Amino acid sequence: MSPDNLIDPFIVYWDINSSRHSDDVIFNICDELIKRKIFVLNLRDLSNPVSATVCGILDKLAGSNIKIRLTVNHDSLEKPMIRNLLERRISLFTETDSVEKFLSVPGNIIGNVSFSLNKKNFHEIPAVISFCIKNRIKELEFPIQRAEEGEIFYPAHSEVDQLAHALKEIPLELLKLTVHDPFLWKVFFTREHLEGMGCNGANTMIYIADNLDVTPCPLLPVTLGNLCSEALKEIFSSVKRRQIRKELIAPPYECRECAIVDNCKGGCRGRAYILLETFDRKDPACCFYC
Amino acid sequence: MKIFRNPDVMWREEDEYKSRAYEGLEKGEDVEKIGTSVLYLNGMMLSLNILGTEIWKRCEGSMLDEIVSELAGIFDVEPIVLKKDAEAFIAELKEKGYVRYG
Repeated sequence: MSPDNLIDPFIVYWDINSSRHSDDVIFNICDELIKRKIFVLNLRDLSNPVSATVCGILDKLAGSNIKIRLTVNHDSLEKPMIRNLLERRISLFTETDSVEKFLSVPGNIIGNVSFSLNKKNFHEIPAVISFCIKNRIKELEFPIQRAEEGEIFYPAHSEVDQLAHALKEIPLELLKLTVHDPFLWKVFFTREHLEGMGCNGANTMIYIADNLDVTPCPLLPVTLGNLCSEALKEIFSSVKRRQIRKELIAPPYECRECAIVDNCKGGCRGRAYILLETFDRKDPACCFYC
Repeated sequence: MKIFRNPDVMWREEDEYKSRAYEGLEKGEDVEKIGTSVLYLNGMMLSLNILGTEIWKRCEGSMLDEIVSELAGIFDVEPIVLKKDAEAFIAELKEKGYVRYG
């Protein structure tokens, strides 16, 4: 086994919005997640109210060793549902893209916070972090963008610099932060966290879309198979998956002479693929040698 | 000093590669580079070979000497060498936060 080519993924992202799949299909997937010894299941359901499918998955996986992180829409939390979710042994995240919603009803924040970044709210990051610290929120995540959710956002270099400056005043150690964007990492974490990290799409992680298509990552829309008709094991051992790993392990051709390519491995390969339609170009968010 | 796994570490053995490594071991092959388990902590992944995995599995409150004594029955290595390797490996796990001493 090579760390760059695992037999099974161990992190699964699964979005459930308007899905109307039969219980059998959903439960078969759950059984396979257990069998494949998945570590973390990141469930995300932004529908209002939270769907019965999610509750079914939580019931099915209760008692398994899978660590579940459930992200729901901040607006969809009703008291009975909050109570129901909090009674389960899961990490609950409420997602929003506006700090105003949190600031207007701070007592209403339940669990952890998922703050979906976009062009309009990037400057709100320091306020969101300060809010979370003040309200003793345990974890703040900046979720991976979804390829199907429209405009792909990444900050300008000047915005990243401004953020780094603003964060100097904030005690980040008081909050657990999850940052997926490789070029935002360096603002929050020390350099050694970046050493040797590269794209882990279709390796440690996979993404299951609402229609049960399986892709390497939420931000890399290359379909490897569909769980309505194939098992996860088949998809993960397929030629297509091996080919995509080969593409992702090799840094982009455009980065071949870059001094830091061994560290960043080409940044977010999904973002580059979506925006430039090739694996040969560097991540547009790269701020090295610009 | 007892050695304990960090309960926050998620890990699994890769059965297919574990079988392959044990088969190779019986044939006297070099199986050092075959990863038989994967550990995950705070976004970082660690792949362990068969010796590393067997040490890791025993970090449940055992002392170093106890671990080495058990492994001496499995691996055809001089106990002194095994102890030195195990000690260095556990120190590395400690440094990375995967185990703690109690």
